[in-house]
Amino acid sequence: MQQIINSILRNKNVLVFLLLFSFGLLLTISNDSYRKSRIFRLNQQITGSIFETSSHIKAYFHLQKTNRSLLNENILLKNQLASFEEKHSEAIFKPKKDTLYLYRPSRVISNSFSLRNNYLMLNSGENQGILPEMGVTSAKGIVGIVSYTSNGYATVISLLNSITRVNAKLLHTQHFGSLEWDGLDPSITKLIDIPKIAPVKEGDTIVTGGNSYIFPAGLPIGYIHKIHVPDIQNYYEIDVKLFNDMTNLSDVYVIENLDREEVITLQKKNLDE
Amino acid sequence: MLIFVQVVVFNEIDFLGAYDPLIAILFLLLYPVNSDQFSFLIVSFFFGLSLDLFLMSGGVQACSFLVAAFTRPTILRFTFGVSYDYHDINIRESSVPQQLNALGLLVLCHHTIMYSLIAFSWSRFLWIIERTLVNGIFTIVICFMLFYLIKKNGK
Repeated sequence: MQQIINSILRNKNVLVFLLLFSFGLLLTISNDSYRKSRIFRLNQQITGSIFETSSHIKAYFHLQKTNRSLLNENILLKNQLASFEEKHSEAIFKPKKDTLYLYRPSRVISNSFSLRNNYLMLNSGENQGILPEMGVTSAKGIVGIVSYTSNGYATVISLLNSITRVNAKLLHTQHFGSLEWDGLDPSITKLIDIPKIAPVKEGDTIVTGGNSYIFPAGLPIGYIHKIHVPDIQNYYEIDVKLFNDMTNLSDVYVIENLDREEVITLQKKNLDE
Repeated sequence: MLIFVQVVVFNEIDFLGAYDPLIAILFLLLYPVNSDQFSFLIVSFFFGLSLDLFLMSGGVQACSFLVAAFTRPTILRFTFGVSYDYHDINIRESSVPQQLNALGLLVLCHHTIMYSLIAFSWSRFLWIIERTLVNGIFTIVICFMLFYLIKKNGK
């Protein structure tokens, strides 16, 4: 017994190293489970308040850039509104609601993009009506999906995450596929499951498909950068250059689908049957 | 303090769009040489873990700091020779090549583990090498400048 204790004491550095390394490895692998825990909510509140302070300082230095971006966005929205009014002024069937989606402004206070699974933190949470599984977009294109929320902050699964799958389509042909990230370049994502019969060319615009209750159809994502044609499969593998600079995000919108509860209830009913 | 500066200032640099110097590694270099290795391992692990909480990176930094802390005695013995065994060294007062050697090896060790855990796949071996080398050199340059700034202020 004495020998065992002596041996443990002699090798205590190696033992503590192995123990702590295993614990660290466990945290790395189960990063997603950790995010579901209560400790994470507490951590989100503490780190969130620090990031918010630094974000205020950063925002001050970027005022000119933000103004320019908002101006461009206003022009874009005015043009869209004008074309919408023109299209629907003489329509017989009016949409049943003014809008199906509600946009809430928010700001990115922390953003990771060099990891395999990246996350963002927003400075608004449940108090501002933000809930998990809401889409997040900027003026240039989609950013990610809200994963967890606390009272004042929300964590977003970035597009640059191995578990993110977004329904996307080619703007001009309406062929649908799935957008995912291979973990290499933060400006490039992969669009898969686009059939080979679809006419695609480099430079074509990719937008959201709208086949989920998270993002409305037609939100910009990026453009085709490179097309890979696998020999054995009947689908293209397309590199999509994102419109958004994912390494430099500030003002974003969180999208709430107003029919979300209805859609989820219906989906549950289908699953139960 | 190092963690705060790392998170608020140096993580915003985004050199070439993807590289941030990890100045928090100075902690491993400046931690007293004659301290107990057992407590150094525990402190390093929790230092890395605090960084992980801010960077939302699970336990990547905790593991990387722990491995670098574990190898520090070997690195210092390699750099300073037998003087290390007699605790007769002062990193702040040592020669520039010795400081660069110790810092370089600590960064190399830390970054190799960090990027291997981030990639978590051997198929991305080249990516790990590239990131380790580019960000490693960037980190060494910035850390060395900061190290001299701290040293000058200390005097």
